Formats: sequence, structure tokens, C-alpha cells
Amino acid sequence: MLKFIKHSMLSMDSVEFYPMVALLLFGSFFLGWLVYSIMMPKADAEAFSRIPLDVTEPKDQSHE
Amino acid sequence: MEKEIFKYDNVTTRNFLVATVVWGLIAFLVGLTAAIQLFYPDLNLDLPWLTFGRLRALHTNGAIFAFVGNAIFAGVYHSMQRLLKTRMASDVLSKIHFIGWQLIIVSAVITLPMGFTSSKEYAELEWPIDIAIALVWVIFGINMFWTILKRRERHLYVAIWFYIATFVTVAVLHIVNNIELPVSAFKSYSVFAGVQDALVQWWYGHNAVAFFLTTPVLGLMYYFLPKAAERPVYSYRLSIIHFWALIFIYIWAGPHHLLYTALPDWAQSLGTVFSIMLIFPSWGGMINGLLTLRGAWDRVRDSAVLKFFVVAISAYGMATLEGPLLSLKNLNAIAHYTDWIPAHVHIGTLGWNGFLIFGMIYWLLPRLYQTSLYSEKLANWHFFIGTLGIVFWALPMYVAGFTQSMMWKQFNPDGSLLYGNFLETVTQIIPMYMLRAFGGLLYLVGATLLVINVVRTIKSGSLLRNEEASAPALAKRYQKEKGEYWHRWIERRPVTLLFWSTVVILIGGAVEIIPTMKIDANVPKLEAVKPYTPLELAGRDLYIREGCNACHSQMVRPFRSETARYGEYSKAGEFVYDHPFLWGSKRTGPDLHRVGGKYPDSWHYYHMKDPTIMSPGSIMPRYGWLLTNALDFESIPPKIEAMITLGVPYTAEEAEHADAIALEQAQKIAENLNKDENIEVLPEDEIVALIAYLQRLGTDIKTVE
Repeated sequence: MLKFIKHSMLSMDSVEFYPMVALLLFGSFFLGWLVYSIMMPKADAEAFSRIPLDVTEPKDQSHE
Repeated sequence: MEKEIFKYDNVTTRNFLVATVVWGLIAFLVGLTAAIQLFYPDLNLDLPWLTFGRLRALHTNGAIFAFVGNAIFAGVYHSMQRLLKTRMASDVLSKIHFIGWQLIIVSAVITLPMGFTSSKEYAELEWPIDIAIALVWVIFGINMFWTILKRRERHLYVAIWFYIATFVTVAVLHIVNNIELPVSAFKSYSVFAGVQDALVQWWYGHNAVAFFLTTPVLGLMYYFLPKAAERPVYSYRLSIIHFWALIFIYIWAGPHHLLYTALPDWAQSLGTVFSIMLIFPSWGGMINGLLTLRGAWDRVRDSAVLKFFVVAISAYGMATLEGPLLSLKNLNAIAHYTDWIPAHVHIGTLGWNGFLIFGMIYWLLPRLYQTSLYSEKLANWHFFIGTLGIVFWALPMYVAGFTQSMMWKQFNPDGSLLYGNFLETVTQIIPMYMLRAFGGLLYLVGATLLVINVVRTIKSGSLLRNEEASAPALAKRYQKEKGEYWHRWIERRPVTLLFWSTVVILIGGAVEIIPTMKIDANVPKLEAVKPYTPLELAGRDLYIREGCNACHSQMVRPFRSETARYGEYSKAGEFVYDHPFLWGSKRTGPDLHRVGGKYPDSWHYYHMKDPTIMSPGSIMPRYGWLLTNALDFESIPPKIEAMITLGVPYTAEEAEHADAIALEQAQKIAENLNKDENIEVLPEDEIVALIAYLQRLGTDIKTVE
């Protein structure tokens, strides 16, 4: 099927530019999140990961 | 800061939890019935609504949307309130959501066995129910976002991200895949045709697995696993990368369901590449889950809940390694259309979904009812019987899949097929079908133990309807802490998070679907391909009603073993008038794309009456009612008109006189059939329309040859 698309691809000027940009954009998405998470301060990461455990315990229980 | 006192709503959670158990039991029972029918077809008692083709959709929809769906909602309603330190925003919306979802399930239980189906896998429900699903889903979304906006915890914990991504993606998938043109109250045609319809369907189908069976369940894992293990998640950083990578990559992987089909090659390749990449985020989640138990492994021995969680996460790891491997074309060529695929799927559903849900129920229920679990021992028994059930389910199916696939591909030295009769490859694996049903039975027995435990626990405790809690209110305006890092930006902005996750999930779908729709070169036109005659179209709708596509594909792949068995391989241009496409995904019976003209009309008549007359040993059900039911000819003209609206080139005359044209063709077929002295058929009988359709299949190309 690619042969149908290949023709129009070849007729474009500097077509090699587009896949390169696509690859860079794609890679930078993951790289971005990697940097984002690495730069997160350890104290924050620990605090966030404790959110489920820091539940306020029930005080007054209304029964059915 | 002064604390505010508020109450968590436990009633909605309880309701969804009970619904999970009830529907789960029903879904497993229907699954077991369908499994037994594959070696004992008489179990359908010759009743239309109990045949495999109809029950299969009921089982899959029941397991996915009723069992897992209700469990997701139970878990979300419980965890979200506690993670956000607030009650759900609206009790009324919670109630409408619960009742609405159960009504949708009930309508599925009624309509699917009746044969009201759009034929698209996991999206079989007809248009009025589709609209109801969309409405109820939006109500759930409003309730969720409203709750998020009134939260008392600034940071959105990672589980909430998964819930948000689930909400938005399921909404997009459901709406796009169910764009259909209604013809009557319970009949519609997909606006997409052939290749496009297949791509949209599997973009949906694959992501139903991703965003209904995976992301929300991962959200539950990120909440309930730390709770049960009493330790925080292993790496919060890993959860961030794993979340964004998962939702970005998953959405592209749909085309791996269509390898070697008539889908354009570039789309198939994209599906494969992204499927391979999926290993990383998936395993990121698995590793994060398993390592959360670091230092707590000794407790797994004593805790049934943790046992269920460990096997669930391991099953997730296995299924998400196997999935990408199955997306490689060489492996897919062996596994596709065989029982290997259901085996893969059931590692995910029985193991990952089922066991995570069971663990969640055992942990949550005693807390809601302020008591301890009725019997930890019984829960342990459930665990062991259930695990054995999964093993007995999956292993025989792996063997069956591999065996059958190899048999399909074997040749004699003279170049003819060694197993030319498809049925030989079916009878060979029947013992495996029996073992699989035994596995299903074990799983059901395990679930029965769960029911006993649930009932006894509920009886021994009392429901804490409103659980009091306290937390300081959030400041109206957020004050940045000194030295705060920029990463907190998105984690406290739910609407921004919603926006960006929507953008991320739309990219993959758009890149694959839009070019397939817009570039004509992707589906080369074939001059010889003409629309179905009115009678053939009516017959096609019977094929859809009976769920024939659950067991028969209509896609001859370009392999020598397939062209030798079935004929010329299928071309994209042959399906341009197929609203919806009927390529199927499993060959319990042979492919039917080139069945047209292969047998005389009378063969089909006898075969439908009792398949064992023509194929002794066949496991196909009898379709006696097709021989006696009268076809509704009056329904044909509106169907042709609908097809014209969708761009199928029927003439105005054909639309106006469609019923008369259909009757004329039916008379010819009936006349031909009645030449056989043992056959007595009326032109109005449904069987005539079905035969017309079957005899047409794949013949456009044959005529050219």
C-alpha cells in the first residue's frame, strides 16, 4: 500500500525533515516526563505516595 | 488550620460492590454455558437465544461492563472520596449513575440473546442503549469532576489520573465507534464501511481493553494495594512516567488486531511498533505494583487479599508481555483466529481483572460493614481454586490454538492441504475445550465461595452508611510554597490534566483513522464489486443477528495455506459496501469470505437445519428456526434507503421496490431448493435470504477471475 503514498512523498521538497521532526517530538514526550519525574524532590514524591495511607480515621460512626 | 467535618458516602460503593458480585456470577455462568456448547452444542436446547453466537456477546459484555464495570465504580467511589478528602459531589448523581448502569446491563441481558446486535465486538449493543451508555457515562464524569473540584487535598494522587484518563478515553471511543444510522428501534448500520469500520472497531476494541480493563484497574491497584500492604507505592516517579507513556502509546496499538488483513500495511506496522513499545509502560506498572510489596512478602502468606493482588499483577505482567509478542506479524500469523487469543485475553480478565477485583472486595467489604471477613480460610480456598481455574482455562487453549494453527498450515508432499477438511482441525481440539470448561467451572466455584463470604460478612456486620472524616479546607487561592518545583503545576490542575490526557489519546487515533478515511489510495476501488441485492442485505442482517461472526471470519489472509483452503485472499476494495464490516476475529468454524458458490443452495439448507447432516461431528448449532421464521420483507426498503444515505450506490428504483426485488430473488432460490424432494421451503422463509447472502460472499472477485 505504501507505493500509493510514496509517490506524493517523493515529490515533496525536503521531505526527510518531517519524519525527523516527528521522531524528535515523539522522543521528547517521554524525555520530558522522565526529566519531570527525576526533578521531583524526594520529599514530595514520598509525601504524594503516602496520600492513600494518610486517610483520616472515622471518628463517629452512624450505623445502619 | 481548622478542620472541616464531613462524611464519606459508603452506600454507593456498597451498591456497586454487590452488583459486581451478582453480575460477575452471571457473566461467569454464561461463559461456562458457552464453553460447554463448544463440545456439547445440544446445551442450547435448540433455543435461538441460547445459541453460542448470541451468548458469546452476552458473556463478553457481562464480564467487561457488568462485572469489571461495577467493580471499577465501586473502587472509584470509595477511593476517590478518600484520596480527595471529600464526599462525592452529588448523591443524586451517584444514585442515577448506579441505577442507570444496572438498567443498561439489564437491557443488554434482554436484547443480546434476542439477536439485537450491531455485531461490533464489545460494542454489540444497539443504538438506544449506546445513547443511554453515553448519558450515564457523562453523569459519572460530571460527578467525578465536581468531586475533584471540591476536594480538600491539593495534589491529585496518581490513581485519580488513571480515572480521569479512563473517563475521557472511554467517552471518545464509545461515541466514535458507535456512530451508526438507525433503521428501526433496535437496528442500525455503522456509518463506517469495510476497512475503515474494521480500523475504527479495533481502535475501539483494543482500547476498551486498555481504558476499561486496564487504566481504571491500575488506578484501583494504586489505591488498594498500598492500603492492603500498609505501605506506600514503590515509586511515585515511576507511576508518573508509566501513566503518560501508557495512555500515549496504548491508543495506537489497535491495528495489531488486523495484521495480514486488508488494512493498509502502514497502519498494521504502526500497530505493531506501538504494541512492542507498550511493554515498557505496562511493565512499569507491574514492577511498581509488585515492588510495593517489598518487605511485606511474608504477609502474603497470611493474607488472601495480598495473594489475589500478587497473582493479579503477575497476570497483568504476563498478558502485557504476551500482547506485544502477539503483535509481531510472524507470531500473529500463527495465533490469530485461534484459541490462543481467548487464552491471552483470559489471563488478563480472569487473572488481572478478576483477581484484583476479588482482592478489593475482600479488603473493602469488612470495612464497609465494620466487621471482619466471615472466613479468611474460605477466601484462601477461593484463591487456590480460582488460580487452578485460570491454569485449566488458559493452558489447554494455548495447546488448542497452536495445534489448530499448525494443522491449518500443513501440506501433503503433492502440495494439497493435509487437513483439507476444516472440521478435522476442530475435532482434534475438543478435549482441550472440555478442559477449558473445567477451568471455567473451577473459577465459577471460586466465585461461589466469594458469594458465601460476602453474604455472611454482610450479615455479621452493619453498613457504615456515612463515614465521618475531617480535613482542613483548601485555601481558595493556592499559595506557592517557597522553593516549590514546577512539577506540581499539572498535578493540582484536574482540568489541565483532563485536557492534556485528551490531546495525548487523540493523537494516535487521529493519525491512524483519518488517513484511512480520507486517502482513497488506502482502499483501492474494484470495479467488479457491487452492493448486495436487497435479499442478500436482509440475509446479511440475519448473519449479524445470529452472531455468525463470533465463529466465522470473512478475511482470507495472503498465505498459501489460506488461499489453498479458501480461495483468493481478501482485498480492501471488496468490503466498501459492508456496513458494518464482518471480518470476525476467531475461526471456530472456517472462514466464509469465499464460501459463495462453493456449495449448492441445498447444502446450506441442510447444514443450517442440522450441521451434522453435512459435516458429521460438527459443533455448530442447529438453526431450525431459520427454516420456519418468515422474513420481514417490509423492513427491507428502509434498509436500502439507509444504505443510500451511507453512500451505497443503490438506485431510487431499487430503494422503492426493494421488497419486490427481494421476493423475486427469493422465489428463484426457493424454486431451486424445492427441486430437492426432501426440501419444502417458501420464498418468505428466513433461510432463503441467508442462503442468498452466503452464496454472494466473495463472488465479486471470483466473477472477474
